[in-house]
Amino acid sequence: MSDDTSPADPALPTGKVRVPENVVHRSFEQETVLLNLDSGQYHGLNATAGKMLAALEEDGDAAAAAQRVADEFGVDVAMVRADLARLCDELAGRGLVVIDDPR
Amino acid sequence: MTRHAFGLELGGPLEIPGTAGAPGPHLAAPPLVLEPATRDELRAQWPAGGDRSVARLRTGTGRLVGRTLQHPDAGFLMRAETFGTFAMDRAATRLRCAPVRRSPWPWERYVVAQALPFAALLRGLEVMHAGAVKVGDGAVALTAPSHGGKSTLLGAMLLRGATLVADDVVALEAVGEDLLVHPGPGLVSLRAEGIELLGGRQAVSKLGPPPRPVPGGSWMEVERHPGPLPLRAFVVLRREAGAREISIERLPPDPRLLLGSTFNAAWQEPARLSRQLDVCAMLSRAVPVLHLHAPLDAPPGELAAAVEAAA
Repeated sequence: MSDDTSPADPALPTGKVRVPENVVHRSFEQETVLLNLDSGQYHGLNATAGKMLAALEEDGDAAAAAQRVADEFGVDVAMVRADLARLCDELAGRGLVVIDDPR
Repeated sequence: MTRHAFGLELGGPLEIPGTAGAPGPHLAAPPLVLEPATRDELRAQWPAGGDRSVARLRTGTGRLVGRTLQHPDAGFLMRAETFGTFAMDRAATRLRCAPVRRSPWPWERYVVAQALPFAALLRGLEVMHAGAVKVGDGAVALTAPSHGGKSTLLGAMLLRGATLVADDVVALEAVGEDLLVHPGPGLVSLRAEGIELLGGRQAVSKLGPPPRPVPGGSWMEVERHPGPLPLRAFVVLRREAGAREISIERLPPDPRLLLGSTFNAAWQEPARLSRQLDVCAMLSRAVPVLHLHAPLDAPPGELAAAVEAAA
């Protein structure tokens, strides 16, 4: 199955996605706060992105996490996959998740 | 006589006002021993090189009046203009104090306001910039922007019969499902204008012995609750020119507000940052955060009544 994304949109990672040891995160009522212990930088995720991060941590697999979130919210999985791909791309760019090479 | 503050048992020949009393449960750690020293002794014993500046103390106008140096082996050297020089070991078991002579400020105020909270932080507690009083079976923390009326509100609650837990810094410890507030010294700082709002010196005299004058206000000993209490509410006071009446509402806790309420933003060791995030997240889950909005001229007694009713 191919993702219905434009060339500019990131693809959903196929490798394992994990939160590195130098990053901790905690849930607050309306957002999730991530802290990079090495840099002391804080990052905030809204409630939906926080749920996606929790699903990623539990599943490790982005496709499975997208399906889980789609089922929980009752929304189109293709849309969730696109959102999750963008989230993974952004978190990886900030060093908040690590995406393992699937090969 | 046993002495304690911020969850630390205090020992040694130097006695800090407001710290005497039978303690409640403490952290399982040795006491923090307070000893006299001279500035020359502390400087001579501080290693040459290998240290770094970890904190700066500034006045409200930005003037640098103090600095803390850290050395990996020697610990911390704290210099504060008008107070003195203080040296603490890495494990926060020994605080050596070399006060400035002939200062309008009591040197103990620096120990109470800076050194002891820092020691509590090093010992594993999280310290936030807030006062606290006992209401019911727990503690209510009170915070506000600088010069926002926190101390006056605290004074008003004490005059209405609440018991002091802490004046300016709360030391928090996560124990099971509770966040415990360890009592600070039984000392309250009040500015001159705050004393007037509370009814003048005669009214404030009900809180305890005659206060000690300090620049801009008074510093007085007040009876305090002896042991830790579960935190039951976190009140954020905002006095605003546009507010027409006193209102208090529970709002979703903003992590930026909670993290920003830290008393010490300079100590950024990873273990401490992780603990701070844990404590703030736990606070957000377990403790109502109440926003108290009031006009600039709202009487402190009415603010106190609003807090009592809501907490």
